Amino acid sequence: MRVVESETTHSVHAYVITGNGSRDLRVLKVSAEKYNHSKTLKVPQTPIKRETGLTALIRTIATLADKPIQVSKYLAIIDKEHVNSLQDVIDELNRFGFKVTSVEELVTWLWLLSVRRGPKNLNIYFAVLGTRKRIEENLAKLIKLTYGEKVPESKEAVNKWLKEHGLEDIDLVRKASKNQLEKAFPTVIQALKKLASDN
Amino acid sequence: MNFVIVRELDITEFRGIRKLAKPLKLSKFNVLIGRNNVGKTAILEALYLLTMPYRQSSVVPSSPLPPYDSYPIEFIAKTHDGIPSLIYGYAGTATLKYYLKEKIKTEFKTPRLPVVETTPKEMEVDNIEIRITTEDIKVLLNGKEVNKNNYEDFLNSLGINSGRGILSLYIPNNSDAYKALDSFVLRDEVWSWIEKEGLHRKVIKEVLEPTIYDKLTEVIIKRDKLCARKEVSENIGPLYINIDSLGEGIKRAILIYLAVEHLKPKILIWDDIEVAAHPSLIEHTLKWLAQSKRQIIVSTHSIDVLYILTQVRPKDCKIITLKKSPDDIVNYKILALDELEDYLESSIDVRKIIEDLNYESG
Repeated sequence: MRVVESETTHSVHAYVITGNGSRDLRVLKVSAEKYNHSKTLKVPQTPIKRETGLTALIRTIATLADKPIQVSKYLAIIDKEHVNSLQDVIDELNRFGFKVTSVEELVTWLWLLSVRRGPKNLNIYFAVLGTRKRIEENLAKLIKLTYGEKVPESKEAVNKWLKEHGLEDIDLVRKASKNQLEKAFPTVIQALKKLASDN
Repeated sequence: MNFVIVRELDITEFRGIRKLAKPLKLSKFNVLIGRNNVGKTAILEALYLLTMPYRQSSVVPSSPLPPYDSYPIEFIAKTHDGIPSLIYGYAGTATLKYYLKEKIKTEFKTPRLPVVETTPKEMEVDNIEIRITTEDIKVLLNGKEVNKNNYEDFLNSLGINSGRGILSLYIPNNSDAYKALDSFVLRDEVWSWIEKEGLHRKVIKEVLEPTIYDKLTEVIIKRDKLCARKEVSENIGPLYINIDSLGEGIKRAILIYLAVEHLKPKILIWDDIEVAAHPSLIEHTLKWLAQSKRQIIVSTHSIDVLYILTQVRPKDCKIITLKKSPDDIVNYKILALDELEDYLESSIDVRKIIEDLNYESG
């Protein structure tokens, strides 16, 4: 599966919307390369976001849903620090005028939400990153799985470890096996697998 | 008055465009966006040909057109690979059709060729067609073929006289064009007008002053070079800096401003408007263009330009997103500034979703 930002694509399977920074996107792009290559996910967001968080994420989906755009599947990725529960997501969707018609929990902190907005029906894979706050917790787990080293789950500690090992975060993800990635990033990888196999 | 001259443009077999899926609707302020080689420059060049669609005759002497000292078709052909490169696939006929906003009552002072007898002396012109082959160029006003003199009569009726004015000015993203603009501005007769109209100071005040650290006061000619007068301090007298030394962005801004304000084209066509410009220079350039009494057609790849447009908000401004099929049919969708703002406020980069928009809805 390819995650693209600006390249030409003839068919976009889903839009990727993140409520976070650029690390999440970087990791997603490299992870997706390991899965079904026949589908393309596109990131329509500006490189510098005006705001982050759940509200910004839902607003972006709402704006796209209101435009004459064919894409109806979304992969929404957000850090745990912005979401306390599924109800937070549903409340925010409702606040923006979406009607949630069904919810399926695919794994813990990954939901497939079917929503309606005006004449449009959308499917949103809603993946939460981090166990308490953010993606660095997933990266710390991946370091443990791949190198057997225990690293504190903070951004500073993960960055320090990567620097000491002469690695970028994407190098770490590239070197990891699918199995290790599934354990370190269960929500996002499960969402990618679902997107790879759905119609 | 909304200053729109061309309300619609249709293109067939011109440069890389086999055809437009539908005629391109133009407003007062138009911003073309789209991928490389989608046809943005070809559209701009097509509009420039309206200035004088004929080839410069080598038999009958004719004065060169400012500011490039050549006729548009030769200027454009030189940028590419000769006249054949202007025709899609290098053979056949390139056809350009322009639909004007208003009917222009034209009195022909010279006989229209080739059928003099049926020539009306007057015509209300609201569409122009240019047909280009490798052998010749035909121009039709409302379906009737006209010669170069007739076309000049038409330009006169539009308020363009053969002296100083031109219908459209094209600024390509091409360093040779800037060299030509530099030579043009340095001409005695041009410079004396620039000084007389105070443009050498206005360019600093209107476009540059808010965007750079240097305290520039005017542009002048020193040692046959275009220089900017720079105030430094009480102890250091004014310095005269060659504009070549002020950086490409400032140099381009100065040359374009002087050429445009001197020639007063009714249509300004500018390819890659953002080149070499800091966002503040883009902002003041867009403000200047937004206030100008002419139709503007620019192209850009820059999200800064798009963002600044939502701040400057030129009247009657449209963003034209272009996409091309593999068989070179170019389609477009028009976005209003409010729609653009909507996207940007939701952190959506409209340049990235051009292919996903529904082009059937206008």
